[in-house]
Amino acid sequence: MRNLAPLYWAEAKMSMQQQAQYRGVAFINVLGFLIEPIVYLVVWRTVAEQAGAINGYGVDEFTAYYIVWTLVRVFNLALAPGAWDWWVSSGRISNDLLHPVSPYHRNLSGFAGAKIVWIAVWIPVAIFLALLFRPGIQPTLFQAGMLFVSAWAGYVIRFNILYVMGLLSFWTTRAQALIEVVIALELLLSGRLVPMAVMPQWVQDVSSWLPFKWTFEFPIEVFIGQLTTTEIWQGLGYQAGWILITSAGYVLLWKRAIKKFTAVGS
Amino acid sequence: MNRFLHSVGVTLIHWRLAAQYEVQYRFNFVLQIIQSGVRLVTGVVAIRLVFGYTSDLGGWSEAELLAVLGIHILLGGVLGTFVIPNMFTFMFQVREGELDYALVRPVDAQMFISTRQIRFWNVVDIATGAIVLGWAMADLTTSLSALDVLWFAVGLLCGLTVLYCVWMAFTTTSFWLINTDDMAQLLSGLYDAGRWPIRVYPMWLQGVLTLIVPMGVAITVPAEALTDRLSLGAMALLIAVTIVTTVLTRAFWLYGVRNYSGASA
Repeated sequence: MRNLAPLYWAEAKMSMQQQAQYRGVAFINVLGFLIEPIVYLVVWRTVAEQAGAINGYGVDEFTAYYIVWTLVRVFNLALAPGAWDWWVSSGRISNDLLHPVSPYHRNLSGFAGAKIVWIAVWIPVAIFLALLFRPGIQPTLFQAGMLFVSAWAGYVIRFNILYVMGLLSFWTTRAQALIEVVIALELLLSGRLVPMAVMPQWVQDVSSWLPFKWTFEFPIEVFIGQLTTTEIWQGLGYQAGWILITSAGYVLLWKRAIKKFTAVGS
Repeated sequence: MNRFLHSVGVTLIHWRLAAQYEVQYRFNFVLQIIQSGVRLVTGVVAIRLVFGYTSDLGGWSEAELLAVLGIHILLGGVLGTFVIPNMFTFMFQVREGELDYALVRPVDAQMFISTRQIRFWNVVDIATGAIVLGWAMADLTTSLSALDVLWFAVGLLCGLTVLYCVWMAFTTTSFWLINTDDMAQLLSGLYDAGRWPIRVYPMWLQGVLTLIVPMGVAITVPAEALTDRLSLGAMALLIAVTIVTTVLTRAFWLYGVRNYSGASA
């Protein structure tokens, strides 16, 4: 087993430096992410004000949920599957295949490094949102630490899912239709649209068998105090399981994918 | 007048060519149906969830919110078909130094760069929006007068003009800024805020979506015309916003062109 730590560190550092050059772009990106949660936040705060708390979510919980949402969204960003379409059809992937390690590692570490800058940009935005909406929660140091761990784990799961979908481009140029459906399922079943507690019970049951909520809702609920300590540890266990499953999916598909590739345009 | 008719003729030729190009890729039609379906399902699910817990949202009923969603999808379809493809091409050409080829044509440059492309299959969104709007209208108990329909048509026209101007003004910044693709993401996010009536938002956000980036008012006012909520003040505000954004966008574009030194020259 090769030691990939130096590669991960070098790629992350490079990506961080690159992003730090474009701080304005990073700020606009983070602003772009804000609109969606602010809309959800306003709508669900209004509902909670009119109807009272919904399955443990009152005005404060919805507010806290959608503010932490913005951080988890930043953590969640991963390589878009659509990028593979162009890499494969243009033959640009040939350059990446000449490297002694799979592009997976460079992409995973590169996105991780970029997040450090995005998170730094996110901090003042989060303070602004907290002052504006005043969420009434008091997270413990343990919850804050677990948010950090679970958000990184969520990133790896989501990265793997999108990577596996991207690899379908080695077989078809029309993977986009499938990708659209998976992204829609993710929106509904990850907690991105609403906390799963707001969804009907059968949707909550379905979501617990899928990886999506472990990438998005779980880190948020860890921080805002919706889970007990036991549930947090169990959730981390589920995340570890999904990292293993999705990584296995990548390994299996990657070996077959590069055999399929015939160096178009190289 | 002749110059205007000439520009219209050039636009129609571009549209015909673009449509012929697009229909070659018929699978994109299937893809577009899936994308529109996804947008529709997520929009309807969000509304249904809200009304699972309350009977109104800031005074708006479920059918009224469905009408807003229909207009949001419909206007989004018009933007996606006629406006956004042109804006991306424009940004790309500025970056690559290819805009000179557009500026030297014997037609108005703003009209040329705004109308030379269409993404034909996005008409699926226009049709979807119209169907959702029809579905909402069937659920609404209010009866529409001819005047309501007229205000709706005026509101829709003003809304479209405002949305075009906002996109045009933002993409004009590509004369100075390098990475305007991210700006496009921001605009898409702001447009999505129009999926709900801006009256449910806090005052500061209503102000942003009415005066700074007037995308919210462009969608909400036409919906208000159909749901018996329209005040004369709201319509007057939309008309005023339309006139101001049109004038400012044109002035900004001309200023940008004057300062453009032609990257390929």
